[in-house]
Amino acid sequence: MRTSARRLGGILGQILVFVSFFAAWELAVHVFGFKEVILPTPSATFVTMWAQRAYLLEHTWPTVIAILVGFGVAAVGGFVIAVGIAYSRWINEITYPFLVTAQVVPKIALAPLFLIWFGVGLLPKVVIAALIAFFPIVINTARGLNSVEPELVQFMRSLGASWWEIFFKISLPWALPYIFAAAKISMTLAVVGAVVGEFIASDVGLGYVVNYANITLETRVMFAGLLLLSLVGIALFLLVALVERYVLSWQPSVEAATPETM
Amino acid sequence: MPNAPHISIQGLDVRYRTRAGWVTALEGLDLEVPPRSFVSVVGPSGCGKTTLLKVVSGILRPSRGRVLLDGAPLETLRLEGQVGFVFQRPLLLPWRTALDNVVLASEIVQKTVPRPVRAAEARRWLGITGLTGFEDRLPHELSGGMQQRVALSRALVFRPRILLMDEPFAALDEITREVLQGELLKIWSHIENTILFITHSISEAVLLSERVVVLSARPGRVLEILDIPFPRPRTEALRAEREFTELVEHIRGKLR
Repeated sequence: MRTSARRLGGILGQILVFVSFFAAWELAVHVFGFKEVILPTPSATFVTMWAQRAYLLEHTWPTVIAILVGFGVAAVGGFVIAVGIAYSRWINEITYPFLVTAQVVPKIALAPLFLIWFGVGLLPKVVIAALIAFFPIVINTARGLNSVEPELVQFMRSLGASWWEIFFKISLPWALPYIFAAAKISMTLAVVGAVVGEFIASDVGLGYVVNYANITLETRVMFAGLLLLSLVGIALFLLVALVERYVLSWQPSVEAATPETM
Repeated sequence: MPNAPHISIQGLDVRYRTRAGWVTALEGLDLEVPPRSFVSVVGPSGCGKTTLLKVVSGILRPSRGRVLLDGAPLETLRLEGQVGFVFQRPLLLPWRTALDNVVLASEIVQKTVPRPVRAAEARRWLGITGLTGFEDRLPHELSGGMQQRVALSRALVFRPRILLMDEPFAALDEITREVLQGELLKIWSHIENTILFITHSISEAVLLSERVVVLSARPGRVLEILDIPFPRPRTEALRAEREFTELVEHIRGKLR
């Protein structure tokens, strides 16, 4: 009872922060008299969002698909590489410098190159999203797999457990909290990647909408697109958090570690 | 019931390499552990007690000497599933209930046994260790003592021939420790395992075991092997007896 009241208070507080932000924005536009092409009011942005809903929704799905496919490729690829790194010192040693280098290269700057390589369409978006999103998965999964108690592995070996049994019964579930922490980061990175791809190598998607509206100085549409992109990002993040909560329901700390509305 | 083996340790040397150079963990260790007996090893920290367990369980190869199980050299035997381990920490899987943590061991060792039978056996062991009613709790919902009871059930559920315990009660508070010591003795009277028990508590060793091996600081050498004469069943009351305190003092003198 008391905790649910506190929780409700927390949610109200969170809503209040957003409302205050939009109110301050609205007020600032009126007080300082910004031209609409520089900064439209949030109310005008919402009106535009509603008026252009068909156009915006049409461009939402390609973006969502690009994000999800990019994230999926990053998750599967990152997991496989992480298993290699966690279990083979040799793989770890030879691949680690390359992985770090690949992470350091500004992938956003590669987007024009991918336009040349893959043309306009889903592929360049997915490639950029996956490249940006896979690194946290690799690092965290490898660390999670390596964090298993050695005595537990020793005990399993003394029972005659095979590598696969130890992996699926002990190591993988042990690493899951790490993997989900990484998945949440990666999902937000995949959003960034997909949008960058759409800026440069796409004629569909919210990234394209934002970029096109920017060129044509339709700032209201641009803001509507940005707002929708944010909502998509939040929704996908919450999706991962929800799966995490279900899969790791045994974990006592999930409640405490995740903000209440998430 | 598993037939408890006679463990014979002969002239054991264990040396291993660290960054600082070669370390001798155990030197010239001879020890006879009769079948069904309860033998404790006491000694200062770093005297190679844990190393000894690793050698007996076949994880670590000795540099010299040998370990015989009923006369057969350890390395010629398939030890998998014949040794139960209890560590200082319970090391339970946090996503498995108490019952499923116990079942984990039989899942590996007794693959041919049907699942309901394994579950029933796990349930029986949780009953023996006093956890009836807690089968469906997750580890974080159990106290440290209860977690260690789960670990003990997990070590015994697949009927190993040998039970190796590495300071199993060291991390518990004194009251819980004494309760669990008493229960271990009760359980031991029902099972047919050979128990090798590592501890740094002299009184614990004297209370529980039939034979106490006193090891020196590194390199671990046998300082003395004492047979403990007290009849069974033993209870906490033993601690108050003069002979008990004399034995404890004798061992303490050896270790100084």
